[in-house]
Amino acid sequence: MSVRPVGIVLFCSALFVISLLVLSSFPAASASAGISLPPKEKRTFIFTPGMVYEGNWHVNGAERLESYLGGDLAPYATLDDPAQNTSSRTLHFRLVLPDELPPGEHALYVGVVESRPDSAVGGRAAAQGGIWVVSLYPGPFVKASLGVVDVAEGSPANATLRLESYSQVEMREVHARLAVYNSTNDLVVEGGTRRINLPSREKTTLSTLLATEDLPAGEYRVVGQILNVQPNLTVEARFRVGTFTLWLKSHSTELVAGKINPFSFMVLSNWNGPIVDVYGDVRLLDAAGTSPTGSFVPFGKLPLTAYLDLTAVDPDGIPAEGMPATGTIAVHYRSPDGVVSSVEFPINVTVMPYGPDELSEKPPVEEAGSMFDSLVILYLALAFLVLLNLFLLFRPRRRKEREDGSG
Amino acid sequence: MDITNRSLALLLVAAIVVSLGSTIFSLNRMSELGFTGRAPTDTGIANITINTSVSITFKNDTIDFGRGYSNDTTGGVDYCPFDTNGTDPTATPCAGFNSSLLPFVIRNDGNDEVSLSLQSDTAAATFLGGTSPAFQLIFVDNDTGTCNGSVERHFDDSGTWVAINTSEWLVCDEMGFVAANDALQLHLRVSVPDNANPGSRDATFTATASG
Repeated sequence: MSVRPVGIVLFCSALFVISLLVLSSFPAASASAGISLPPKEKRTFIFTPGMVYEGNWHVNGAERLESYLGGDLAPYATLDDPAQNTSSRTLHFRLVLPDELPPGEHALYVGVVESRPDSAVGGRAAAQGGIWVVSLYPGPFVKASLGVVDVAEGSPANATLRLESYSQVEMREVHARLAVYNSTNDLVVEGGTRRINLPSREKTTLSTLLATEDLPAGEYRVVGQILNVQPNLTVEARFRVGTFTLWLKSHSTELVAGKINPFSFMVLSNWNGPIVDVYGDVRLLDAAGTSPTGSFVPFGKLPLTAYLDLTAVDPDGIPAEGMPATGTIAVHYRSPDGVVSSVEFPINVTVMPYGPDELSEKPPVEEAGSMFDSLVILYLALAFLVLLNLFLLFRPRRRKEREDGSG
Repeated sequence: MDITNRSLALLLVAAIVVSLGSTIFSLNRMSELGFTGRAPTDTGIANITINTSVSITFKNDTIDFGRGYSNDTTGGVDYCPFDTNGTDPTATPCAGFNSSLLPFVIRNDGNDEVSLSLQSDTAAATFLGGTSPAFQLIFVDNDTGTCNGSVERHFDDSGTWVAINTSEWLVCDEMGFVAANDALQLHLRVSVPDNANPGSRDATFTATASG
């Protein structure tokens, strides 16, 4: 009997295993999750006590998908998953609504999420479909939210009131009174919205300008009282009145003589719009450094770093408690009208002869990958198996050839 | 009486003519006869429902910051800041970390707009430790107009980057699905203090598409 077929099979098996291990040693390039479900309009209902909704939704994506139920209606639903933590499959769920639901919009989410990766900084995908149930109150009922946009000094602030009816009846003469309070809780501005009729299930917004032109820069609180609705509603929002000023919040306070030092500083903006092309020039002793350019978001902070070359400063000439030094930071920026301007801040820094931890040892960087980690040992073992297999493949043939030659 | 073949042929032809005639007559009168088996109309109906597909993919699902530390070069705490948005850890005091890092890319692969939310399982204090570490993110368009032209970047007072916490928050409530407008980049930024806790750390970001 020839052993060649057995050898070929073993050889191919070993190659397959090696290929499999090589492929699996690379990290996954992508991750995905998907769910197929009826169109949204077929998943939105008006609440009916005891209503039953069932579905069979197909899921697909990564190799291991975990199914789940979510949303405030999840306690009223059951999920039948035939193969948890596998890939493509069909989920069956059943939602049985209770006899009562509070007015408003309620949701059940049926979804799948990839299994958590074993290690590393990784992303995982999740996909879910919603079933929405709108519960309407027999009497007037509304949900509301208020937003007020930040403004510059001398400008009126735009307030937007969003109203959502969860009522079975139309509400008439709905409007809001608005009151603006400053940081010490003094009433500084009053206003109101126009009156509207709000039909059942309608959503609408009411906008009005608040007379904030005379308010100084600062943060304010707006309280809105919504009238002619049930229940009586009060909503709140905050906004800021900005002025075009920048100021220095913090900066490095200790530098080391005889070295190039990073000098970090934080600049704040009190402007209600973005400010671009912002950078800082730092001057201290005979050193100067310029930071990279950044930009402010409205009322934002901007951390900047410049490098100061203090190699010319002899550490031996500095006392152990340090040497005080003064300098400046000039912050350059492009104003809203496009003009490049700058503002200068004084700084006080202590120059030290050396850093307190300068002589301490740093933790060594871990060597990147040992030569004999587990995967390498596995590869070597498989290579040995392949060689052994090749030996077994050819050895009988040589013996047989010898036997044939002697015979 | 003998019947000739010719007579038989004539009778056969006559029978065929009578049979065909009565058949045609009956079919023409069928609709006037009330209940029959004949279908009064012959309309065909084709029905199709296109399902909604909610599907999301991380095109790049791993970020390897590498192994390194922040070197102590001054008297105070030194920080090594780097990110996936072009800031490499090449300058002092950074040592050992990987450069040219790519961001996560999240794509809507479905056939409808979705609401995209994100949740991390860790924050800076746990992920890095030490004095005032930073672990931040920012979303930007990978394809123009993916979030109707305005990605929620979660600006706060700290500027363009926002600190990562473990709360779930809305990234984009209408993420597009057309091929040219369906992907966002999620950039990460770390600022490693020189007294960060040594050891290996993991962070998982879960992006959920709702439809």
